[in-house]
Amino acid sequence: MFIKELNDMKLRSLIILLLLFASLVVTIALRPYTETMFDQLISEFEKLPEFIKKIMGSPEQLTRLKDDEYYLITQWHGKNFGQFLPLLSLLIAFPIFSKENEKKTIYFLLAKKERKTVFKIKFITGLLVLLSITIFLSIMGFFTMKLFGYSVSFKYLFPCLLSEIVGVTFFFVLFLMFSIISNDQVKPVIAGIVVLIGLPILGLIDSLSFLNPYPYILCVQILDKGINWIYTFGLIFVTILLIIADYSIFKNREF
Amino acid sequence: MEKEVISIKNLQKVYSNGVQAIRGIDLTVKEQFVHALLGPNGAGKTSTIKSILGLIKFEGEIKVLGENIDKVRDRIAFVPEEKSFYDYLTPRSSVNMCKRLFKNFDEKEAYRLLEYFEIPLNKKIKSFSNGMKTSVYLTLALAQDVDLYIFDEPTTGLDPIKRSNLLELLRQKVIDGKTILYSSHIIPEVEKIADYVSIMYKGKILYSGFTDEIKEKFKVIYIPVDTLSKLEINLQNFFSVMQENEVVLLLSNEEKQWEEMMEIEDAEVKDVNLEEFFNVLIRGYDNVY
Repeated sequence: MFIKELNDMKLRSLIILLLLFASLVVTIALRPYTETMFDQLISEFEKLPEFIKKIMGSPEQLTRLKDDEYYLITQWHGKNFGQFLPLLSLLIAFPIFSKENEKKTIYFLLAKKERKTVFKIKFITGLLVLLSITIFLSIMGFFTMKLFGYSVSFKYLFPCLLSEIVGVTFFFVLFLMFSIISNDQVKPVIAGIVVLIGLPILGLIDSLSFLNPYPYILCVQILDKGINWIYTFGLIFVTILLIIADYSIFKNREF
Repeated sequence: MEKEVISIKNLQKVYSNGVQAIRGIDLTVKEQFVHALLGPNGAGKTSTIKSILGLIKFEGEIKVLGENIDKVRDRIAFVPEEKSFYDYLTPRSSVNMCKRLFKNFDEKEAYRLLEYFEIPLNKKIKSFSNGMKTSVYLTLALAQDVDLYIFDEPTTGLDPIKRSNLLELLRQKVIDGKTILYSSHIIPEVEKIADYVSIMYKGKILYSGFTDEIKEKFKVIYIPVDTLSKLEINLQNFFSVMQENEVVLLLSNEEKQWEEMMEIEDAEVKDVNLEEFFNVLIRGYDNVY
């Protein structure tokens, strides 16, 4: 059944992996041009309109982009890759159960296998694929920078990996719940998009800022503050609760 | 003593929308029988099968092969009402997948059955007609060497020849010592294949017995409404009663009643086939008369 599950997600995983890897190569290949561009921006910073200044950040931050390590963390982990991670979780998680429910192939599995087995294999396979892509692209960020001849150490590798793994796992188990509940493949996608848009919006309210996991997943805070352990354990705790809820819903669901 | 392969006691099912699909049924499926669940759409056949397989929650007690269903799933093959398999696969890759998934899956038998149903091996299932999709699903179930086969409306989409072929295959399974629970609303099919029949309607089992015994034990009495109204007959004493146009059909399993009715002018006492038996039973339940 493990191989069947891998086959089910093979194509979309490969496409996502290739697209993200291409994005990584482009991000690093653009490094010299962005440096020139930011140099020019810094020299003309005071002449820029206020709203652009707000978007660009302070000249000090722009200057830091000359640092290869800062560039990797902010532009790859903090933008292209990091921002895609919750969406990656959604793309991997949403069809895992909902496709079987929609196509009624779930009967084929549940007639022959215990629900516990079906859940376990589907959950583990999906998570393994998701974490493989996440870990590979996270590590490749550091290696590809090295390969392009930039000077990066691996001191941020573990903190970044940890944030990304905890973050994608949280989103995965949340989106898996939508997949279990739904009888078609459209609803979990819509619900997922609502969550992806809704959490950052809720996070704009100061007292609810903890609901927005993006700053955590994007790794940027790590550069100045290191790993946010409280948030890490909080997210792990919520993830465990969601896994229990996922299993409980699946175990009691009627087909 | 024949072994009980499925034992159901006081099964009840109420869906979350309030629909009571099964109303306290008892059912026993014995070893090496084709046991048909016959009933119109909405009778509760699929809900009964889903309960047996643990696909829905229910009240009551169900034992399969003497155990809780989860302990014996390896010994069961199931063909659901919706015969949609993984349509991005070909029959060949489906066989390979089942070989890996099920330890009692006979690959050679699967290829033999695919040839029997004339299914191309290397075309994707999504390009198949409904009948071909059904044939693939049936193949994957029948190629499993299990003790109990459960079929929910298995002939959907099959042409008459393939339908007949399937019934022969099922008969052979029983000869080989297997047990089959077969749900259908197609009476001639059930008449041909079933050793034992349980007729379901509105969540109840109205009749359970050997298919052949229906012909032996029951007769249907046709009597004009006008004639009946002049007689003092207690209709409650009959097994089922229905009215069709100006004639009343009385289903009876008592020889004494047959003899009495034969003496009435205009009344006809006839042998009953499964279709007639089913009609009188179902329509009689609704108190058509």
